[in-house]
Amino acid sequence: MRPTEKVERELKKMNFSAGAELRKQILDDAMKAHEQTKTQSAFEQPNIWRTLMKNKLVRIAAITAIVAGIAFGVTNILERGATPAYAIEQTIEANHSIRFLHIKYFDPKHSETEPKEIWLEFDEGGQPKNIRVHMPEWESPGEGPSVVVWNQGKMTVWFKNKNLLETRENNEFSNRFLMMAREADPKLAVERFYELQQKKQVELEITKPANKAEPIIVKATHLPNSPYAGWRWVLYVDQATNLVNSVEIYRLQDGEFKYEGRLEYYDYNQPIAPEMFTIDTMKESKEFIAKVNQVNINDATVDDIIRILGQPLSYRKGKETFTQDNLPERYGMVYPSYFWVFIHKGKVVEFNLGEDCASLGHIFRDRIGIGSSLEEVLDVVGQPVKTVEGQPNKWENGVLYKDIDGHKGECYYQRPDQGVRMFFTDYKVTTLGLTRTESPTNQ
Amino acid sequence: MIEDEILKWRFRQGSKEALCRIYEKYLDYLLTLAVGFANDFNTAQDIVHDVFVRFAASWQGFSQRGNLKSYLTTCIVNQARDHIRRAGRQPGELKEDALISESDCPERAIIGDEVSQQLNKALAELPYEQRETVVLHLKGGMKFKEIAALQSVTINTVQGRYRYGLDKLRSILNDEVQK
Repeated sequence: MRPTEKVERELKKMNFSAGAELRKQILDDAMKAHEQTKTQSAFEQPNIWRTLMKNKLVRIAAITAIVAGIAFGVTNILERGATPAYAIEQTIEANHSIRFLHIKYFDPKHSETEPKEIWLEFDEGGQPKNIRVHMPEWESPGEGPSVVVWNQGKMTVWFKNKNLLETRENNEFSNRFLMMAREADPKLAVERFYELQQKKQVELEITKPANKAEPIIVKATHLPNSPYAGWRWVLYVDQATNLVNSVEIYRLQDGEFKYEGRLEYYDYNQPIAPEMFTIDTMKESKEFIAKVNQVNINDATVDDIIRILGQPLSYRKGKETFTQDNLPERYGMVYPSYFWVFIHKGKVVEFNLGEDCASLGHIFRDRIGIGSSLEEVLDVVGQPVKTVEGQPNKWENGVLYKDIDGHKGECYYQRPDQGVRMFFTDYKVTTLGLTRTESPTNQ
Repeated sequence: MIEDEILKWRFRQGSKEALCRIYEKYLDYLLTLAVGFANDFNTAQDIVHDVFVRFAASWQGFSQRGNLKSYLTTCIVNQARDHIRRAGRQPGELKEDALISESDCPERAIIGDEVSQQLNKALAELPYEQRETVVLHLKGGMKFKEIAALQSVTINTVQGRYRYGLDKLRSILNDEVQK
């Protein structure tokens, strides 16, 4: 019987998604509707400002104007307070020399040890040139953790769990990603306060401690007429550089401001190595293989596997999926790239690699992997005791079954004495099993 | 949550990027709700299409201060009811093949895994109010109080609809297993 809790759990996971064409079709229609209603709005002024800022000369002129413009608002605040000799335009000025930046975003609902991380490189006009983001699992529980790299419109995503690399040049994804990175950019955060202050929609409260080692605190509280009403951003600004060190975000709930998240800014203008803006799946594969090599398959248990390789993505037998508490006698633990660990009565019996594991390289004695040729295999493993050609596979140890059932290129070769068995298509390894080693006398 | 506030703010400024991001972020979630309400892929497509097109056109007057996800969920609920009213019938007896796809081409289709399709088929057998309640509570994460406000009924009625709906679903799914 299916308990109610199980039905509830399954319904929570129920998911339908749109195929690519349908996805595009709805978006196109929405964009058209958006475009048709679009008129010049006062709200667009900041965008014009941003465009102007692309030009270096205009930028200098614009900064001067902004400093002059903002001074009135800030001066009013300063007149009320003690005498903090700091104004937000100093941070705006300091921000515009930024070329490199590392940001961490901490969400209080998730672990403090798992922030979302962003590395940014800006061009001379202050526009993002290269971006790298580490998305933790909590960001997208269905897909698992991922790494995203954006280089001038081209986006590459690496889904760690599936070891799947996707390139997206589609503007829609690219724009979405670029926007996310921009929102974390302190230049724009400060710029937003400037815009809102001009409209008298935000109240700034600045505290400058006498101790130079302590940060200047800029408390920006959105007023009821602000589109951000009910939100407060607290900026911590370094006194020496006038750059933002961190931003805390609060939301008004039940009469008090409650903490909603934190952005921390690191390594201003510390050049970021170009490799950071590429994705190296090989490095990850090598790390995984190094872990696999720590396992002694001849006496490894399930606990050893979990300790060394971590929790699997799933427990499966054929198409059936199991949870850790209802496992059958025989099952497989599935790891990224569909690297299977076959278990029988709690003991490891085989590591099984299919074609998705090609990226793991030469896993058997550093010489055989998915895609190795039959000749290479014979060279490493040795000649069979017998070769059977064109006949059915009878799974005998030490026998090479070649062109099975008359299908040219399909072969099977099992060598328990060396702890390996392989299936071939077109005389190339398509499935590789690393098994327990048995002495040749048992064959 | 913070991201949504930024998106709303940008969207109100007329940002296409914000619209794209909202669309990408919520499309599949809203589609799942629409399939759950309508039990028919074509109708679900229409519902989601109409909601996004109207939403996209509303940016200048958009003054929603509450939660963006709840707002879009409410739009889907209202649009689904409109569709069903217009069709002049309780939504669908689901055809077996409609669950797989209305189209031969997966690019143009709505895609769901086997369990989701099985659940949706079972949902189709519930009266509309029960189905809406179950989907909104479990998939939409809405509280009974919020559903009660949306359906203009008391919390007790909502809780009753949820309990009856879930019991019936359990029985349908258990029958399926026994078959």
